Amino acid sequence: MKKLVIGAVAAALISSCAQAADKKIGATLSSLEFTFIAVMAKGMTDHAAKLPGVKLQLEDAKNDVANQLSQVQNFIASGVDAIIVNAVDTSATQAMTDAAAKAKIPLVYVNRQPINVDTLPDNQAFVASNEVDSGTLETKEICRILKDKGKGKGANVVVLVGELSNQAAVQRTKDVHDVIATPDCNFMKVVEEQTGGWKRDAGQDIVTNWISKGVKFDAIIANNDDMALGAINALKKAGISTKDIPVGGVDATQEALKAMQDGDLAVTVFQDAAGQGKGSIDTALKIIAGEKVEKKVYIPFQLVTPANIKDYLSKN
Amino acid sequence: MTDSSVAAVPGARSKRKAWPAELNALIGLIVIMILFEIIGWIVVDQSFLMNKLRLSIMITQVAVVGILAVGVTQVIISGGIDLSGGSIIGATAMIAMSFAQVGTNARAIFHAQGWVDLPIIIPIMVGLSVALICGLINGLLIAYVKLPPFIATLGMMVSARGVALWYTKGQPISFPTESFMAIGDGLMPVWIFIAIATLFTLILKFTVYGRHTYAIGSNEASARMSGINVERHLMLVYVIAALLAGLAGLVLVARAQTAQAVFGTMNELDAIAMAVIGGVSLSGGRGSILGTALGMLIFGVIFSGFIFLSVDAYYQNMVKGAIIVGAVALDQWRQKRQAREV
Amino acid sequence: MSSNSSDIILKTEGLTKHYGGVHALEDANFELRRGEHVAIMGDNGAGKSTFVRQITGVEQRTRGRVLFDGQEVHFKGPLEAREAGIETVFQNLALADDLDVPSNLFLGREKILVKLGPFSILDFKGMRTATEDALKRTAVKIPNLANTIRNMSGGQRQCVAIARTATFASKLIIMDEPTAALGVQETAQVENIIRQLKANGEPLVLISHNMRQVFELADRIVVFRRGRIVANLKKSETNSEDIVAYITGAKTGTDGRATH
Repeated sequence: MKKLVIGAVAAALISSCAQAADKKIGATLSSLEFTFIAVMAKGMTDHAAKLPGVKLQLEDAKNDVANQLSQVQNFIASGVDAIIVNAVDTSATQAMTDAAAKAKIPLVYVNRQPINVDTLPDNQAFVASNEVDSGTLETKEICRILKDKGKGKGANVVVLVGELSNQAAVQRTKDVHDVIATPDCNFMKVVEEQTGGWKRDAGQDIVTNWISKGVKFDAIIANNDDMALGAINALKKAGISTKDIPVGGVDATQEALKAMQDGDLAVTVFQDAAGQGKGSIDTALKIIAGEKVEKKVYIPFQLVTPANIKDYLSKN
Repeated sequence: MTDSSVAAVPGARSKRKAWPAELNALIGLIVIMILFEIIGWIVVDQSFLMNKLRLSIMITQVAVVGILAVGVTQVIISGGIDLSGGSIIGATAMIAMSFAQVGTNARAIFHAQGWVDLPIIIPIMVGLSVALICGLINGLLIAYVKLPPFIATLGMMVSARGVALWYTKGQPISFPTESFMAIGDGLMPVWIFIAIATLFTLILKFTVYGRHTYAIGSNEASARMSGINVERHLMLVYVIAALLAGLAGLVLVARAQTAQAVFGTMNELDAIAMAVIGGVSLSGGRGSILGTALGMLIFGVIFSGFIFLSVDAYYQNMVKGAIIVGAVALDQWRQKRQAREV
Repeated sequence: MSSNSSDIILKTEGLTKHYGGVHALEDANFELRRGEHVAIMGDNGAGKSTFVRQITGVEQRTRGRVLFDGQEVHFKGPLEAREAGIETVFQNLALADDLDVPSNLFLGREKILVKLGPFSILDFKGMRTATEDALKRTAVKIPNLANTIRNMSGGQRQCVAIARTATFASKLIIMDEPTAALGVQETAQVENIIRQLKANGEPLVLISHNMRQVFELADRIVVFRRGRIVANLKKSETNSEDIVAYITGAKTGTDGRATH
């Protein structure tokens, strides 16, 4: 079903620019089940539609490594001009790199960093946001808010972790601990940490369980906005004001921005999904044109707070 | 007549009261609760159970999957399996939510059409209609096309998830109306679960539907020979399962106040596990909603217990897996022993 | 013959069943009178069960006629046969293991207290009383009616299956090797039930391999061999050596038909 729809979108794209001297780009994405990847896919198709003579073929690898490799091989077989890969398994990218290099077809990894990023051949690159930034930006802002509240002498924080198997969850959680390890923010202490698998209801349930246990905390740091919104629900249900307990998330989803406008969410981080999709296509086109590109092309993360929220309301 | 003495021998054997499978689950639940209580006093220095908020969240956090599990239970009793519930939750959640959005949200799916701030009955009916279609397809494939339930519902699991993803190309749908959120607010999911569980306990016990569900699961050929319209009945079984999955989807979105295409992923397996832990036999014919409810509570207690002890989710999954395997092993052993006795 | 045709409950004429090239049943002419108990014997694959399956509509015959209770019938399935009054106890007992005795007796024709379509509410008391009556009629003793069939011995199960046929006003009972899987005592119990049926005047077709049983219970013995009826003998006019000879083919011919 999914494929059909994507196929239809792709077909529409193809027919709309059939006359131009086509640049065919094949893209395989880890899984469209993730909102972020879906936004990225939309960023790619929207951008490709604006570029005359660019034909984009999108495939969903459905989180299957073998599936993704065969999609890449099919792209090569059908003679595309460039390949974009959002890797299912970042430790299994060498085979795809080799296949593309052998066929002398440019390849651009997007969003998920391939294990062989430092040894990529000249006609390959990696486009993403620097994951270290997101958790760091979020935790530093929470640190600043706590200091503003006069809690600079000691504050407890609780952490809601995303899907355990996910690199971003691991990295963002590490960022929290790294920031807390700095002299600036070492007044903070992680008293509870639990995985909510990115889900809002899980975030709500976990925080409710903590409240029932009588855990004393001064801030909640969540790996994503949905869990942060769940945490806010739990606080409200327990009669705790979000004015007292700053809650942070990552993603800057529409609802997170709404919650921020309502004064419930203290901080979120904008990862430009559409921008990454757009960037991956631009990078691929540059390589096709023979231009020199950096091995790592970073689309920056941006901190979103009540102070600058206006700039982001229509971005995601 | 010699038969009086003949009857006496097997009669004496069958006088031993059969040990209900639900009792295993109840004992398991109590043992787990006591374990957490004891460890709680040692490690956390507070009571695990004597805490109203914790007791309520224990049930609330599993009530949505519990609603799904009621439907799955009657499917398993009928001798089938339903893997599509989690995906039906996803599809129902997405489509229903798009009819439950507030007008102040300029990005509401049907903002242009003006289908916003609709009365609560509209998203509910839309959601249940989506589930109904899924259930009819399941039922048709299983009862009339004679596909194995595993295959038919596996297909639906993939397709319904596809629908959920296709609907907004993976984008979440948010900002529901206040009235719609009410069906997922506070203890509402628990009340809905209790109502559904009670209704289906009565239906399975006291109605022709229940009797025929057990009969088909017990021996489909004999049910057919006895004049039960097996096809029509299975159709109904899978439609009801899908409708309950749809209801679970509605409660879930109302509770989460957002709909995402991945909602309900793996919930079908949790629901099956709850039933199995509660003594519902995967070979059909045996089990009860009460057992499934106990299985659900075990999941809820474990979830809260591990957070209570600040133990990582890794361990939680390991323990859950062990309990599922243990419950089935116990059931098999019990059946073998019973078979030997007769 | 025409004078006593109303006396005949079941009659087949030229009943034939071919499975592709296999002639499982060939030109079977058979009669059963009211109140009569007829045993069908024969080697495995001789056509006994095939014969029963054509009558009860489990399979569709290749050709031939079946007359039941004075009318020509062509059942599309076992349900139609049962609705017409033919109750069959199958080799693979058609019971639901996880249900209790009354539920099995009334499976598919439950007594209803409140009618609500598929969610009609069951009349437990009514079914229990009727079950007790049926068991009394067939002299079956089950100690605990609320026990599930799974927890019962093979004999008790068979008794329940037979009692089910007697629960509903049936015109003809067919039993396909009802004691094949039973022990000595359990067999005796089932045989008692069959005697009870005879005393009640209910006609019976009994398929059996047990020579002693057949000579004790049946009025008449019909022997199948290679898809054909090779003997049709009154019990008083034959003996077990004679029957064995027909079964094995040592004695052939259609002299059995003379007694028709």
